[in-house]
Amino acid sequence: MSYQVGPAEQIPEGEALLVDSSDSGAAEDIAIFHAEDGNFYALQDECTHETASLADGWIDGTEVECPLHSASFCLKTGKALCMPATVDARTYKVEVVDGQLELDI
Amino acid sequence: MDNSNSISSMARVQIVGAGVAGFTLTRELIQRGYRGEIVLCDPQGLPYDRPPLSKALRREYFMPASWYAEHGVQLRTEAINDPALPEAADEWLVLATGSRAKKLTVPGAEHALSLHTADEAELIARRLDQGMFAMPVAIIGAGLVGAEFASAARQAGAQVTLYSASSAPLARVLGEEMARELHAAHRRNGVTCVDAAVTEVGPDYVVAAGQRHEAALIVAAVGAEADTTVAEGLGLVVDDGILVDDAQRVIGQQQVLAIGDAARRVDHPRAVHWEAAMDDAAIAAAVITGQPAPSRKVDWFWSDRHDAHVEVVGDFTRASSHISRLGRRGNLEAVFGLDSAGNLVAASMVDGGLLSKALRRLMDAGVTPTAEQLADPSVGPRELAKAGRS
Repeated sequence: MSYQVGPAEQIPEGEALLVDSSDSGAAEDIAIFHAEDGNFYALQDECTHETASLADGWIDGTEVECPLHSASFCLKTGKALCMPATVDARTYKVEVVDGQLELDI
Repeated sequence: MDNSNSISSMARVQIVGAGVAGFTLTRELIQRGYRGEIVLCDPQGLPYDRPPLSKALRREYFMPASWYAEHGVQLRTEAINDPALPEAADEWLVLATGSRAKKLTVPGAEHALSLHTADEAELIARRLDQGMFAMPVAIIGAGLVGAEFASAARQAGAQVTLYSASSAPLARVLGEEMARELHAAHRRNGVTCVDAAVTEVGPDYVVAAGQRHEAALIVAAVGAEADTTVAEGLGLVVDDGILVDDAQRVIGQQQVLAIGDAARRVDHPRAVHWEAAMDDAAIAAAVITGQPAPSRKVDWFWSDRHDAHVEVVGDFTRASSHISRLGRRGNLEAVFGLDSAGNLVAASMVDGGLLSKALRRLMDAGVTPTAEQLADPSVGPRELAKAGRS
């Protein structure tokens, strides 16, 4: 199932957008990141370590660093790259179609 | 017989101590494809993370037991007091023995519990749980552990009194102004602060400034010191920590490394935080696997108390002047420390969001924003990080 997130240009490079599960109907909140390689990636929003929103994190290249305890995740694969996270984040497919973001939920 | 196989079957790393340093080394070795035997020894059992102990009185395992089995890691829980010093070039001993709680040295100190291990945290949690509502709890020492436990005990409904000889504990760690502000915040959160040293402890009381205060639970949090018992037993060089070089090699030893709170690099103060321990572990893993060592990052740690997320980047002992950043309501958001040459060397902040990330990057790059940028709360983290680049 695909959820129409809206125009891709609403997320400047190096920033992220939180897609609330109550809006998208997905099983969980999802963060869409506009990485510094120019591409868009989507991960589960909640850090796998403790309660924190990855959409509020610091994007560096194609990684995001959790705002709270600096666990970092690969935006492409969801892989937990450093402590304190030991569990990978779930990834979601996101595409830009005619300038619109489509999130596969 | 295949020669390469016989070499790799002898290769071995024995890690003594399974805190964040010992565990991270194990994980790094696995990630780097180390093919020798990994033996991780800690009498405390399945390795757990320390930060949640004083924040939530909870034991949180790094990984389930199955993870170690899956990666062929041997977990040993017998106490290792005198490990053999390795001789072969592919045998390593890594001391990650951490720290131990400093002992309170006043009369009756045996009545105070300490909060350093998971067993101790769980015992304290049970005592709080079984205690009556508004049970009087005395905490001796208002450092990071004392302050975090004060917050946890308040949340558990206890009536908390925090004893500290200083009204700005941790000034050398947080910067004086932040230390004073955070200590004052205890009072706003219902903690009674007695700024006087405790001179005597009894089974159900403490004495401070000549006054006797009742307490049903007494916890001493008067700091930690490097646990160097094993190193001393082996005759290694110890001086406020096991002395190591920049590659974490114990001075005078080829195959013995020391990492984490128990180790101290020659000519550096002993690093005592979680992330520094992980940096040590990554460097040790690179040394063992013969790979280039990663660079050490600027110091960073966090502390949580009364809903405030406190972060410190860098080292305030290097700072000779301070700049404060006040929020719109006059609240203290951050304190920056500059050295005598005017370089940014330290920062402490409350609920700073991404500010700590910007500051870590600035300090790693050796860049100092202007005093105006630092003091201005409207200069956000990204802008600050960019300001440094121009």
